[in-house]
Amino acid sequence: MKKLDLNKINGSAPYKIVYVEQDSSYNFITDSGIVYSVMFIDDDLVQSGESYQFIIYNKNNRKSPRDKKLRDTIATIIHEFFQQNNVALLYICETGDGKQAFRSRLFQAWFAAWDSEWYVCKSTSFIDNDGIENYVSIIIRDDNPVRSQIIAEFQEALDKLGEKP
Amino acid sequence: MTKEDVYKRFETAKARKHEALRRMKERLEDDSFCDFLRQQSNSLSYEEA
Repeated sequence: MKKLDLNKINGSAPYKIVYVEQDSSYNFITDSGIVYSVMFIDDDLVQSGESYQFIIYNKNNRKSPRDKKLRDTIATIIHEFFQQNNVALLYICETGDGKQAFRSRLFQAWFAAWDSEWYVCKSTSFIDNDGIENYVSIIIRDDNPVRSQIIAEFQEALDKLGEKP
Repeated sequence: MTKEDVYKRFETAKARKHEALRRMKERLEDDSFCDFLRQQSNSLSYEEA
């Protein structure tokens, strides 16, 4: 993965981003005092092309209702990620606290508000062997040369995961 | 691609995510880092951005 241009991000992100070399994370604090950390890690769920996983952590575990600056900051980071890397990006909603459906809806609402004609986003869900509903989204650039293969593989993988044992 | 292969890959993806979250949590427990973030955020207003 190519490194993101922090100056470029901070040139347009509403919240100031601090990069931490130690774990390659992008960190910021919102007006309501909530600390967020964002990271991109290697992923191989989809193998038709290079892919990464998007991770976001809310330290305070509080909601940020209608915080457009938060949405725009995340959009700026992801946009810069795709400027540097024409790859696939997966978002697997955390299921530990049962709020995965909310996370998925929020992510899709954010995506819908972005400059999304440059990207394709596909979201789906499946119930795993433990009866837990999992929500997964994938975003790729519209001009990704293996876009169709990645989307097809993603859909096939999620269909298989949803098959009854 | 078999269901078992996909399941293994998905479990690996989730395990990587949990490990990344664990590292993030550990780092953000450090209040001095959060204070640093607060100071940084004061140096740039939304209008300036």
